[in-house]
Amino acid sequence: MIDDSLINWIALIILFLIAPIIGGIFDGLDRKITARMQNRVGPPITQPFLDFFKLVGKKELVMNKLHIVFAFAYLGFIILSVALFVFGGDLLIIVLTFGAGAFFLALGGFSVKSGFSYYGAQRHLVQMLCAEPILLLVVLSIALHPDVNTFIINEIYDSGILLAPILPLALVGLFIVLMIDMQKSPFDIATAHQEVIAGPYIEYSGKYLAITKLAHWYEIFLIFGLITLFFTHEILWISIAGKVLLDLVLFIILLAIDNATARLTVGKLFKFSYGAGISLIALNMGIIILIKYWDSIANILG
Amino acid sequence: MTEAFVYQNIEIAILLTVLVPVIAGLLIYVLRNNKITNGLVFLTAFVLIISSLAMLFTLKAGDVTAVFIEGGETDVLGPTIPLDAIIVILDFALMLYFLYLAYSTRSPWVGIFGIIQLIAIGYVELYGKKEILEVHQNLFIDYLAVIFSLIISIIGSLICIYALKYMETFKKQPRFFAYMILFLGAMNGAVYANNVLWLFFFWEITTLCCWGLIRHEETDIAKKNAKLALEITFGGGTALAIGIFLFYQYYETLSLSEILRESGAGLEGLIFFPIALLSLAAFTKAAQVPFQSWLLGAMVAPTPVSALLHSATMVKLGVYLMIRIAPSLGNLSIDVGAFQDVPLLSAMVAVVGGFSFLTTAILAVSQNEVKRILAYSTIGNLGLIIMCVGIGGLGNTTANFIAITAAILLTLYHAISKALLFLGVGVIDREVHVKEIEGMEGLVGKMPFITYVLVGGVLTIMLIPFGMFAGKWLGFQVTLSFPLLIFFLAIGSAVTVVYYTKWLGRMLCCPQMEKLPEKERLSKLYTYPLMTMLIGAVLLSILIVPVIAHLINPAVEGCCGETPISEAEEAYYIVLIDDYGYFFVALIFIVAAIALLYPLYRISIDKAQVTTAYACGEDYDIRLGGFYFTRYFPEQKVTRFINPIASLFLIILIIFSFLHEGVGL
Repeated sequence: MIDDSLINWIALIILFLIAPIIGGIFDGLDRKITARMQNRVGPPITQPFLDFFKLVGKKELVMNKLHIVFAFAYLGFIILSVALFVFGGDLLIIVLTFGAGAFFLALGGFSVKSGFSYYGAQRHLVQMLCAEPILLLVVLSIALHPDVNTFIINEIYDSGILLAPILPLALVGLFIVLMIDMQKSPFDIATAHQEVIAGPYIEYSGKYLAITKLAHWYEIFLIFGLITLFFTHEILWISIAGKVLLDLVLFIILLAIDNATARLTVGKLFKFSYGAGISLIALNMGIIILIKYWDSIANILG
Repeated sequence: MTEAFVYQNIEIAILLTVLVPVIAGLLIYVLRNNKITNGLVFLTAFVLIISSLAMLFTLKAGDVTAVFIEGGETDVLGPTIPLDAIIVILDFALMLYFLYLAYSTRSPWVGIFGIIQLIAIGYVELYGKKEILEVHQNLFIDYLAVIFSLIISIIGSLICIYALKYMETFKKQPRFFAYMILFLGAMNGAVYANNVLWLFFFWEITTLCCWGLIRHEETDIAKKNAKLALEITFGGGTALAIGIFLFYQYYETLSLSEILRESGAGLEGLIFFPIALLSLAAFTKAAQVPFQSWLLGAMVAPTPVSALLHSATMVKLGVYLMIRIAPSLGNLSIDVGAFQDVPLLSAMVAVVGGFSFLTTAILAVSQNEVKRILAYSTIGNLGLIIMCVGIGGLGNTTANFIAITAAILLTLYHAISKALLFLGVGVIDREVHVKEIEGMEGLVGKMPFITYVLVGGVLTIMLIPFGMFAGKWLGFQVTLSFPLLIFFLAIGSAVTVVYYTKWLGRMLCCPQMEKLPEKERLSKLYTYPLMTMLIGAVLLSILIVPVIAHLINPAVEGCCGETPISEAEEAYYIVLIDDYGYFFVALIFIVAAIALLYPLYRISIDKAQVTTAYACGEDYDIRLGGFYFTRYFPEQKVTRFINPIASLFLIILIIFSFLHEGVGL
């Protein structure tokens, strides 16, 4: 499906360049639809971009240089992760680079003497502890399937397997990760406004805050992108339509849950991730292993 | 280069790496003069580094991957040295000394173990050797041995040089340095030994040195922890001794390479039990759960001891043994229901390793003392290596060879990074007398050099794209062969990030500053080893593909016959490729460098922009602290929970190997 032709390359480069815009549009849609659900008018869909440019123009207040270095590192690693994803790289590397970006955000939050920032960074670490393993397990369960047996995205497509029906629980796990990373209720512990205001982001201002917002858009793009891996089809336009549909459906469900639930406590988030999250994926993996060894088992059962 | 020349060069190099430290150690102990001690340490360091590098280059230039050296009597250095005879005598002396220690430390366990060892080894030495067991190839050098020797020689030497400054105000320095240097010689001997009796001898010397070094300050707690370490590691040595006895009985050879080559084919009797015993010995040395308490207790020793024994070298001996016997692990296989040939021994080894990795990561979160965090982290990483070895023994496919490659890769990079971390932490202990991470708040403002060294060290041990990360990446790939381990690895890795980041956060939390603070003044004996290791870790990570191609692949080929990552050479040394994925090392390094170094050096901040925290307008003075989750994962409770489970794994491992006798195949 992904071949080496020039048009393909140009399409991928364009996709990479507009990735943050797509992320920002999701962010804007999020605010608009949430507002509508709450019977308000809400900001325009392009509001995130307007905010971004406003922030870039403002003068920053800085606490120390390391704080800024970590914001850049966060952005750099997330962009790298998205680049590797768009150009069909190794899923393990993509997920682990993504985790490295989140790691730098946490360090940024720690590097200033501000209570909310510090505490938000700690919660961000707990959030990483909950989301990262699920993400890794999703990726590993994809590779576990005997016909896939690889982590490289291009080769996963080449194997022609439709992942959604085989790994529905992994898709649910990925959805949970999406909720956690987009900081949506009930998993928004790191930026819980009533508790830690903006968490690790609080001491950033001006163009450095804009940088963290940009990084967040890339993050959104990446996770929605990972979700699109679960649907593929030979005919290109059906494939693209299906992927977009999958994303939008999950997006709406995400917003519905966001508006309908209250936030979990830190402890409960941990128990939920390691209880429900990991169990779901374990179950899915068990099914795949059963498929793998079906012949041997059929032999035993006669 | 002729074969004889290669042979001779290597023999000289081995003798230098083993004998020079031993003699230097004795001289240091006997002469008791600080200036002479300093000189001898530098001399030994020089000789060790040059010899081990010479060994590597000789192998390369001579285009050989493995060499056997007779070694029983050697005359390359001039006079004929009857090495075998000397080792036999010293071995018995050592075992008798241990019995004396059993009396002087009032330890019944050491006494029992010592008697068992004496019987087992005594029998083999006196009766077995008389029969057909003249071992004609006492030393074996392949790339695996050379890699370990490089780690021991180079990192060990840097640690000893660092220790020259660190131990300045301690008492009884000659004894300390004698043990340290002797230790290096013994380690080198152990990795080159092919005669299992020689291996045993050097193994037990390391046990002795470990005891002596932990005990150095002779406080009550030091003596108590040294006794614990002695009991556990000496018990492992006893398992090794019994294993050797069984090798003699059933394999009828004392040459390790022959034992591994035969792999039990065509033999009858308890042929798998000794392999399990060797694994047990390796687990005690590597402080795997449930044996981890001795390593934690050993943290009371001076920091160079922790760095040398418990990160870079001694615990690596356990890992070395596991990698050495990896090809044989898969031979114990049984039929479970309709599943044929389940390699149970190898699978249990992998489970023990993976379980240690996960549980020690969880335990490290609750620790406040930084050396204990590093200790748990070391045990975890060793567990990871052992897990990879266990996976490697499961079969003969590419995934299994990748697992062995990962194990060696992790060993190499872990040694450098962990030694770096321990030494950095030691400097903090000496200069500002802080042992807990709570006391390290804001250290970046007071001791920026050490803080950046430690930050760099943690990044090399955790972050993409450094060497340890590459090892973990390979580890993830191979867990596909044994899916249970996926959970251990994924959760363990995530927890690892948590406690390291928490520690870094404590150090980096600082008052406002618009530019980076000035470097503090430290002795060159501190800064040079630290910088060497940091630069070494970074450079080796950048050059990971040549390292794999030229250093690790020959070692893997030696034990597995195949090199799964051989495409590395074709990709111009910038990408790591194997059957499961690819890792674009060069690209990620460039991006990481830009992302970190550009803002660090190119962005300048106006003094006018610097401010205090916004904190949404909150104005009071705050105190910040780390989080330890002691309510959920308190150390005592977790330890009490995991030790029985791990013991159960070991019991299963031993029983299965014991019950499954070999049959004439």
